[in-house]
Amino acid sequence: MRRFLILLTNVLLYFVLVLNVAALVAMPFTIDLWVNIFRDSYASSESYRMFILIFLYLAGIGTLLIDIDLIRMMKTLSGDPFVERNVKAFQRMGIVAELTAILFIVKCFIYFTPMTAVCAVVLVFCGLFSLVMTNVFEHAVAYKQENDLTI
Amino acid sequence: MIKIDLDVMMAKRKMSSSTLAEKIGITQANLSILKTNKGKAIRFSTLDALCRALECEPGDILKYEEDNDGAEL
Repeated sequence: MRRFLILLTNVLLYFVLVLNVAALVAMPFTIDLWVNIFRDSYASSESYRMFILIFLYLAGIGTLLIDIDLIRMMKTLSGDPFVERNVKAFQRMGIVAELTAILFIVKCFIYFTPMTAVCAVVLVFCGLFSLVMTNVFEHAVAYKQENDLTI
Repeated sequence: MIKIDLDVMMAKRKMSSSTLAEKIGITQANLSILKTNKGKAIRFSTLDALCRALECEPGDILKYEEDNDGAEL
């Protein structure tokens, strides 16, 4: 069961990675599609188009960085996951999630949609979760090192 | 700081690292950690096994040395 969950998580992470990279690469060609969705709410002006393009690129890069860190972290499960590298990864993911949350909050003030607000709240909590896990892992690594060096 | 000095007693007893590790039931890697003073702590059971194998007292293998850069707690 545990192996199945690890496999499933890995598959999902790689699936998200491929989707993320594809979305970023295709962004210049698909941007008009996203802009047209909210045409009724906001005039599809060039400034709105440019804002959405930059917003989606930055948000996409943020999620890509998080996904890469998660994949790297999953690889450590085969050996020892309580390593300094994972502490740094949690910290990095927390900071990236909070920065992406700020991006969504900024968008709420410029072009508000309910989903943007929901995403902002989710990202704030994901970031906080990751930062809390940084501290928990930091202690776990220290305990493990002490235990490993007790002969 | 407390330092472990196994080399003198091992030389006295003419015992190699591999034999000592085998006698006290730890790996050679862990014995190396002990010998190079990289360990953070030593279990009483390990100390007991060391003393039995080397036929010595804990004081023969444990030394106290003044720390130059201040005590670390």
